[in-house]
Amino acid sequence: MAERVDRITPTFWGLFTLGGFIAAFLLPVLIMMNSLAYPLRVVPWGAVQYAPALGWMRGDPVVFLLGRSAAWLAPWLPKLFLVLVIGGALFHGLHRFKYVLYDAGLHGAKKVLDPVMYGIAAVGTAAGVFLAFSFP
Amino acid sequence: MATQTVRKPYVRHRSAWWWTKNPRYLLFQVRELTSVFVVAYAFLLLWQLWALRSGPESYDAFLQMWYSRPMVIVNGIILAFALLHSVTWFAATTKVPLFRIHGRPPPVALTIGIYVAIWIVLSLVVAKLLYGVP
Repeated sequence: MAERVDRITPTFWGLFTLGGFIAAFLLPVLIMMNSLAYPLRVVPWGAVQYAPALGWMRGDPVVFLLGRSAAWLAPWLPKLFLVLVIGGALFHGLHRFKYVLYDAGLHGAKKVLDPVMYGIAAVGTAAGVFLAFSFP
Repeated sequence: MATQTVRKPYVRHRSAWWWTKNPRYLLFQVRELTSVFVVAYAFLLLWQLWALRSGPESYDAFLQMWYSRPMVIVNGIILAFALLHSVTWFAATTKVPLFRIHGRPPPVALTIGIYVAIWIVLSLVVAKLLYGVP
């Protein structure tokens, strides 16, 4: 009889590790720029409103920095960045949170927690892809 | 196929407060709880994207909430835990050497130094390229 190899558990551990690196490298700067730059007066009020936020999604600062030759690349960078951070954070964080719940006494609920946690991560990542790339 | 055993498995009793017994356990638990804040920020980003996509009025309402004092404090706490995640993550990944020097794992300080250097460079690139700051 062929031996059954579990490929699902290592896959989620791999996503946990990948997401852990993405969150470690990219999350602090994103929180800093997206949440605290204005309260700390790093950027003015005019830079965080609707029109510049839409410009951010189009990659306006990329074009400003790299010139018109980067115009084809510009709209992709912010969207890929957001999807990477959202997906990485969810698959990393919910996997780890699952083990927090095990430690809190829910280790008997593995059959329920696995689909719930990875389901939320998958749906959240899909929502991130849809929302980010539905901008013109 | 494994056969079903009738034996009742032994489950060792453990208090729900086991992690308060030792400072190392407490650090472990705080490190694991960074995941809650990492996940929370992902959902805040989805909320922000939704508000931005829904038009100027909805994004203005979002900004009113986003830059209110309680929310700025919440975001500050999330940043603190995100930084704790970064530092403890780099420290933890040194346990798995990705390369070897003369057949030995590299010194822990060198590995952490490389990660921190990558972290700083990536942060500066994101701030400059995506936000035009400084």
